[in-house]
Amino acid sequence: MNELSVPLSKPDELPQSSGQRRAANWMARGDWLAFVVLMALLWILPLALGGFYLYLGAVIAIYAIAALGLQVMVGLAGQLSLGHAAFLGIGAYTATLLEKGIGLPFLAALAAAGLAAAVAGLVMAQLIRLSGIYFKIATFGFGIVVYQAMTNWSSLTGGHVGVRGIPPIEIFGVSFTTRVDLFILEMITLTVIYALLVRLCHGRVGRAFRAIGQNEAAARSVGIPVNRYRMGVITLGSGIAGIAGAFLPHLMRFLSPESFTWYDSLIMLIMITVGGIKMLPGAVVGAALLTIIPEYLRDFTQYKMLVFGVMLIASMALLPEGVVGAFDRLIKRFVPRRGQGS
Amino acid sequence: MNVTILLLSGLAVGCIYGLVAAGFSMVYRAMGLVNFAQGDIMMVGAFIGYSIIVLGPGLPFWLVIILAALVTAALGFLIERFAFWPAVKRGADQIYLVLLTLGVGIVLSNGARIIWGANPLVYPTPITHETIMLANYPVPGVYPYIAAVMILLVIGLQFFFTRSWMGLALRASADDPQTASIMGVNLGFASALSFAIASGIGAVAGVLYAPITFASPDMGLIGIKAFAAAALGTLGSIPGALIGGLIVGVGETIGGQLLAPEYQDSMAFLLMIAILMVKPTGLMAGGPRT
Amino acid sequence: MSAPILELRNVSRRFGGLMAVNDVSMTVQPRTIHGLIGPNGAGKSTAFDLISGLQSTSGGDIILNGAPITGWPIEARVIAGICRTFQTSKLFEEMTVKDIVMTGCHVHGRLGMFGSMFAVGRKFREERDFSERATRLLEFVGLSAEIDAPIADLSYGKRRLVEIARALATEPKLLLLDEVSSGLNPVETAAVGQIIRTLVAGGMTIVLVEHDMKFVMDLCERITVLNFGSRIADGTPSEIANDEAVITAYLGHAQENRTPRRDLRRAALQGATEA
Repeated sequence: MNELSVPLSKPDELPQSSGQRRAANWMARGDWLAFVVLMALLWILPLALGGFYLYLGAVIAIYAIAALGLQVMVGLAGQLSLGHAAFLGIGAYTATLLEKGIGLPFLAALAAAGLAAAVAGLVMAQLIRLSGIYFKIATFGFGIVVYQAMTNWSSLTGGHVGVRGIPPIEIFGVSFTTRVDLFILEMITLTVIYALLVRLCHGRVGRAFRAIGQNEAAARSVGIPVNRYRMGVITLGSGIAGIAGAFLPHLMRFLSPESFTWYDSLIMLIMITVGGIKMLPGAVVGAALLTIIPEYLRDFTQYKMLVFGVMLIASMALLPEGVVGAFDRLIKRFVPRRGQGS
Repeated sequence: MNVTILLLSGLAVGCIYGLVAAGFSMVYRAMGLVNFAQGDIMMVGAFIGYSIIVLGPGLPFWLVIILAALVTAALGFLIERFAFWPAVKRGADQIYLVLLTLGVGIVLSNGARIIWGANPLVYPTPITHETIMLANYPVPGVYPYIAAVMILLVIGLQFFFTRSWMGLALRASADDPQTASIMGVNLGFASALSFAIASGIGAVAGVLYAPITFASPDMGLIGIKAFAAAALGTLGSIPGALIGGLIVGVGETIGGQLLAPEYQDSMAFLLMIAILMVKPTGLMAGGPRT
Repeated sequence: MSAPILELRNVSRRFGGLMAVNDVSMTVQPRTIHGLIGPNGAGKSTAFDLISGLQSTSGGDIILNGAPITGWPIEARVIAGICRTFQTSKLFEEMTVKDIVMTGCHVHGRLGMFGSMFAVGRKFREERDFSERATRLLEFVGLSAEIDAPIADLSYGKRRLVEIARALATEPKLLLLDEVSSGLNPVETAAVGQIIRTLVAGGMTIVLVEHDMKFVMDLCERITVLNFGSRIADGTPSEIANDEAVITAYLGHAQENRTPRRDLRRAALQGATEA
């Protein structure tokens, strides 16, 4: 290692102002603050309000997990995946078929779902050899191919007809049959995954992901193994979607390929865009928004996609940093940044 | 099924894919924009053609094609001006632009659904029900039109882009915007024009495809396979797009029928992935803006 | 003379029919400042691309500390001790200055994806270590006031310094600076010159691609000159200033432009006497 023998002071002697340190921590704390607030809201509101709101909360939780996976890929590392729903589906089918077929307990099925989706993600990641736009089109194609496989491989998946009779969840002898139980399980998973992702962002690898997303050439020039990390982040994001997928059939009490079409991939992209791309909380907020809003358009189901499309365009034009970004900007206006030039 | 019929059918649908793909590649070459709404523009073009037929029942088919192309081109011009150009001009990043085109596509397809209804519409022209005899095989009556249009368009585009001032100006602004702009080419107008032409071509594809099946809001999904065609023919290359379309059309029809009919829709992408693994920037790699 | 830290042996780079770099050989001695100059289009940046690994050679070998690195991917070269800055600074536009420099520390870290998620003590120490290195480097280049500023707030000259600090974070043995003075005012240029001198005094080797003649003549101990992809001269600043081929390359035929040649000689002699 080359010793940089320049006249630098030793670390302990460094007159690093407490203001500077505070500012740096504030950003890290900002992430955790958002985490605590969002998780608190998502835990408390559905449980307190119950009934339909509990159902909504359960749906939001699933898509929040999946959207977080997408956010890490797209928002952080800049790897746009247009077939994310495929991994949701792979997770759903893997878990359900194992639970039904060989009676695998839920926790193991959950792990298997994540693993299967991660492996599929790794396969798709081989396509990163293709430059930028070719890769995006390939991810799109991947989603379509997987959807077709789900629909046509009837012997395995039951095709369009779908799978019924989802086995109830039992973990270490404790039954989780009611909706509240399912919601709690999902929220535990969401909380854990969200927290782990926040930790990831605060570390060396998370920083490398962000570097890749913001300027791939520059990242490469400082020795970040770009290709390996691209594959890694895609595998991670897809695996997370798979875990989310494992819960879906239990909530819907039904499993069919129609939950994993190209439109569903698109919806998840809209979630992270409207919520706030490049920010983890944006995935959760986006999932919430895009789940709640259609409920108020119950009478207008045929307009659902149109509304989503308009929301997408509107948010890009008016709020390019998404809801969370706008919120963040608002806060920064009131909280002065400490440690600047002190 | 007879191989000849399959081949003809594959070529016909391949021409359709090729047309949509050519529009797609054209926009990519001119603006660096990946227009995921291209399939939806094709679909809107098909519906506009439908309305033209309804409004003017006696019109010859070729006139319907031209009129639909013009109207859709105008629509494309507007979309580009107001939705895309502002974003492209301020250098928005790729992800933003992709999502923007996706959003526009959703609005187009769902807007069409509202205007024309969600049910597939049969083109009310005699062409739809005609079959003609081609080498002793009965084929849909629109096939000669497809063939004619393809040939005319290939020649026309070639002529336009190499001989006409406007075509050269478009190519210049795509290849070297700064120099073109210094030479007096209005970049915004050039982009809008490229987009309009691409939309017109997409509409032509839609109007040609509708008599074979229906005009339906799901047509956009068919256009999606055109992306695969454009990609494997190298994005930005019009000849590549046309060839790519034919490859996808024939490959999916023959491969689908002979191997696995249920996976026909996947064929396009499997073909694309296979070709891209071997030639990562498509068949026509080595040209500008790869 | 000690063994060279960097050697280019008959290195070429061809694009179709065009030879961007044509059979260039060059040696760089350790702990020196070496200049790589030439008129526009001479192939200097391409040469840097070849050394740093951004492009692969069409022929010839690149040797680092006696070991061939031809064909090595960029990551491997950075770990081996080469780092390169760009003519237009490539920075991470949404990060703070400190974060950007910390990305340069990446090669010296150990925690992977799962480590970042699950480790506690190790992670805290690694992050603190990176943070301190980044802070020290930013102070070294004179940006202590901007450590936590978002990069978007910084001026052109300061962005250049951030890029240098980031490159230094990789702890290179060989630093390649591509037109580092371009766009800088004289004060900023002088500051960069000082940074370069301090680094080399501390043991680093630096190769500069440059257009600013005075800057190069002042700083470099040895200069290689390229034109149309080929090496046309290699020597000390005063040798280069008097080399016919160099003068012709830059100024056309020597007879027509007497004044600039005088300036060139004067600058070289000034540099030689000041050294």
